Amino acid sequence: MKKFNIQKEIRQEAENNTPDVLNRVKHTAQAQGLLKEKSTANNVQTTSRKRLTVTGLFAAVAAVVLCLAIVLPITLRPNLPSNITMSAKDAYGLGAVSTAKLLGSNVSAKAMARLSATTKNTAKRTNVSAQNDELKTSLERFNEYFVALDSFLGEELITTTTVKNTNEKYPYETMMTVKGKDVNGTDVAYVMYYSETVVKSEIDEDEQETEYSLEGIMVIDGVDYYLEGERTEESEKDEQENELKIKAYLDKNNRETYIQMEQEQSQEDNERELEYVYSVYQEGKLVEKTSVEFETERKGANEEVEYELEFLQGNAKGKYKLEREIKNGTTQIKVKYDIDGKQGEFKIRETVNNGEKDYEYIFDNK
Amino acid sequence: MLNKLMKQLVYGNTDAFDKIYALTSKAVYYVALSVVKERSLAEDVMQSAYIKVLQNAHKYKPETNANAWILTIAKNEALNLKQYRKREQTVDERDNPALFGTKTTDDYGLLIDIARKTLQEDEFTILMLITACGYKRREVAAILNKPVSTVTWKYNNALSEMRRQLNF
Repeated sequence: MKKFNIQKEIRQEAENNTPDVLNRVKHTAQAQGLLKEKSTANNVQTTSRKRLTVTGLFAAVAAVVLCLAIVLPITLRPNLPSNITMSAKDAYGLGAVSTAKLLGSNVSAKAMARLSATTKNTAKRTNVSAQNDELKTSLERFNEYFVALDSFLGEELITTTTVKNTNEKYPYETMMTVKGKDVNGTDVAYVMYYSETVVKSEIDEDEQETEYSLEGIMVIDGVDYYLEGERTEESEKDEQENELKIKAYLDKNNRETYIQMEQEQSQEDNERELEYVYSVYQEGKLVEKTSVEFETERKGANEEVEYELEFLQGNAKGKYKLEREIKNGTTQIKVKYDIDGKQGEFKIRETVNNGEKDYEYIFDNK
Repeated sequence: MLNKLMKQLVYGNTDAFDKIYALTSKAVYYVALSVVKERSLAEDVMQSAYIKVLQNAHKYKPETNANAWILTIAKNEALNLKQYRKREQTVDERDNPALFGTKTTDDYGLLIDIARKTLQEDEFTILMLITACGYKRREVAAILNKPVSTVTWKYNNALSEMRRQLNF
């Protein structure tokens, strides 16, 4: 039987049951002259329902890709849980690469141009049989996320190696190489130069907490991404928690546009949880937030993995739950979604043609 | 980050307020709930607390803990409301069944409901700040102006009591 986690339950309850009084407060505050009224407020109010629906679907698809990019290679792999317990070093590598690549796909024209070439490559692997035009329109965005994230979560686990940095161009202590395979089986490698400093170390009875700060550069396809981050290790009796937060900037001098990745990993008895939260900020404004949560439970020799994804983009929000099943030798992933109260499901089928993988997304045309 | 946003709030910056709200609303609500115990009242406190934050943004000192400043306002608002309610409440059971232990209508049967009814005020606050709001123990210690060891002690007590209430 699944172990009941009080902290997790309370966190979930709080997430769902905390009232939102923002608009009421703003209304009162604006009436009292405490807050300025935004000139764009009316535009937001008059946004058509169709536009909101498109936004919802767009966000939905984007979120699915983000989820799939992380989840799919793991889900399709027979030894599921191996990627869930990763060392702090691997977590750095994974977090840094995913964040920097996602940043590249979102805000850099240069990176976008670079991406468009790879996007074509991904598009041929992806066949959307949905007849929903809006969904098809979103495919481009879908692929951007996919390309941004899939290369380090391919068939093989990522490996990281660290050595003392001797490259004078990057004034950091350590050079980390992150290696993996993309979904086409091509070897990929990214290099991160960084320095890590112990900021704080506390031992309080049976609880120990160490905090590190990180600064560095991630080089992806010749583009330098400036990184800042922090990592915390907490241990108490049989519980262990690691947290990692990385911000990736395209321009070190522009701290308003960046992607923040927060990773939380916890282990208690036979249960492990890993959560990634990606927040996209443009000009200091949060424009998109997506979280992916993996939960693994060991039952004797077997392990069960559950996935849950939530996203927030503008007014749109939603949740996905993924289940893996094998039918007639074909791996299929059932995805249930709830987007702005609209519920439904679709399936992703993996097939191999001429040694190349195709992912087919099957939507019911109701 | 919160400190920087507080500075912008003095000029009535709506975006800054949105961010401050996003960063603190859960904590404000559960601090209020720890005092007033009822959801609807805690919601009222949330509103009045944020209006107070806006009215007094110019008094905020940038070198101080913005989280603590906002949550102190929320707690004071909650205490004021509690005092006011105490003065206004009648002692007739038909008018005020809650005073006589009758089940309140805002019990959703959640763990949070069990926690707010069974834990001491500061235990509930600490449990919610750590568990629901994601603050670290040392951050909670700074917000509540208590030693980290006290926060850890009360947090563990709260969890033990919850396990006891749930029979495991």
